[in-house]
Amino acid sequence: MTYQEAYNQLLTIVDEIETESVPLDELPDRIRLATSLISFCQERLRAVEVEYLDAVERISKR
Amino acid sequence: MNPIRLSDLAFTVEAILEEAFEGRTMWVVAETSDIKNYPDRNYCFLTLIERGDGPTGRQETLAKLEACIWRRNYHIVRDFERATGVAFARNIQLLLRISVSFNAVYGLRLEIQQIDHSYTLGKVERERQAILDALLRDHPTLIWQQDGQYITANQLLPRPSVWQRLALITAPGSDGLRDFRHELQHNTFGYQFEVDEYLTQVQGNGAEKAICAQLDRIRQSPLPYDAVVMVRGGGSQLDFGSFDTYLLGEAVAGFPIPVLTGIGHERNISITDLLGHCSVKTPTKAAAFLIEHNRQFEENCLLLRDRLIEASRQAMQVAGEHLRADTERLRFVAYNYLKNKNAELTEKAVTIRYLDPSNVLQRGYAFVIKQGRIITKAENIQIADRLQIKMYDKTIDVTVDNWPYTHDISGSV
Repeated sequence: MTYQEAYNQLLTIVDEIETESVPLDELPDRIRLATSLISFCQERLRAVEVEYLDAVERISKR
Repeated sequence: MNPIRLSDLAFTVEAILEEAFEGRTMWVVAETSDIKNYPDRNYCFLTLIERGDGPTGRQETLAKLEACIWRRNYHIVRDFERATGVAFARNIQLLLRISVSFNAVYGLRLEIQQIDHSYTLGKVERERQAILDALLRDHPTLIWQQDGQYITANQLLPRPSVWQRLALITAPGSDGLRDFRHELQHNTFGYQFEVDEYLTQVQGNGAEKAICAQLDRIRQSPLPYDAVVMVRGGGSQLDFGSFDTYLLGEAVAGFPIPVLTGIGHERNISITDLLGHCSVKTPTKAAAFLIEHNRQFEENCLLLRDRLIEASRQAMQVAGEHLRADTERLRFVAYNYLKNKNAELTEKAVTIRYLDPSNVLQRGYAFVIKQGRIITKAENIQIADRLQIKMYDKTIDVTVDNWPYTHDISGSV
């Protein structure tokens, strides 16, 4: 899954909860899924940051 | 027969000529030939001629006289060369101020007193213009004019991002070759260039043909040259004739690779300079031009690198901020969802409590029950009916003993 896919899914869940279009019984599952999507996005972001810093270091050398 | 001495004849001629020309000078247009120049001794002998159509209609020599420049006037040779950029050589047309002298031993001589610079400059310019006009006329797709400027196909060739592979046209062992290579090799940025030398004479008779031959070799080479560099340095400051020819102008204007010139012309711009891709004064400046162009490219790369770093950093920052904001929003909407559901339940419970009969009885109301059914209208009750009154705590039995209605109550309100 890409960051964008995960993030879009997270937005959908948040919208669903906001408009209360999720049945209450499904709420815990949605929230669990949303939480894992957030973790995934955070990890992905951190990994990109590390790659970015590596790249900056490499292209800054002359 | 009474012969006279040769010297008497000579003296007679001298006397006649002296009478005719003594103290006079004249302006004469003549062509130079057979120059014997002695710069070390500050004098010069030459022959002046005039060519034209003879009686038969063919070009022939119409006049031919010996001339000289003596020490006291010798500076006019150097002044002329400095002012016009034209070498004082044979086969050039000059406007000269001369005096006529005769010597019994050396014969008739024209002593040159002055050379008119503007005559020669005008002539050079007219010749140059004639060549440019001919090029414009003959090659309208290669050379044209726009806002008084000459535009050529070679000038419009796109420049590569960096100059790397160069074809160098220059004279073998020349200062120009050495200066160009030195400047290129010692650039402070460490840029590498591949230079192939196409060596040829660049001045003197027929030099333009030799240069064009090298251009042909470059054109036929399988190597993808970024530029042709034409440099010249260390030779005569005067002999630029080959760079002002129709042949070379034509070759450069239509050449498929950008031609950069640095031919060391101090005074003016040659036709080759004018029609090539780009021209600078010296071989050193030609190298500097190439290095500078490459440095611009590197500079742009560095700017792009900085933009890339900054844009990436911002993209990550924005993504992180969005993620944090949406995490917060999730917390908020989930809380709201639960709060709303709870409020909904509470509301229902209140309604239900209000509707519960026991609550109604507790507030002081009572049910009237007749034969097990709750009665809501008095008309359904008659005198002596036995009823039950259900109150909050107990139910009591009662009998109706006072009844306000007559028996027939139909129609009453």
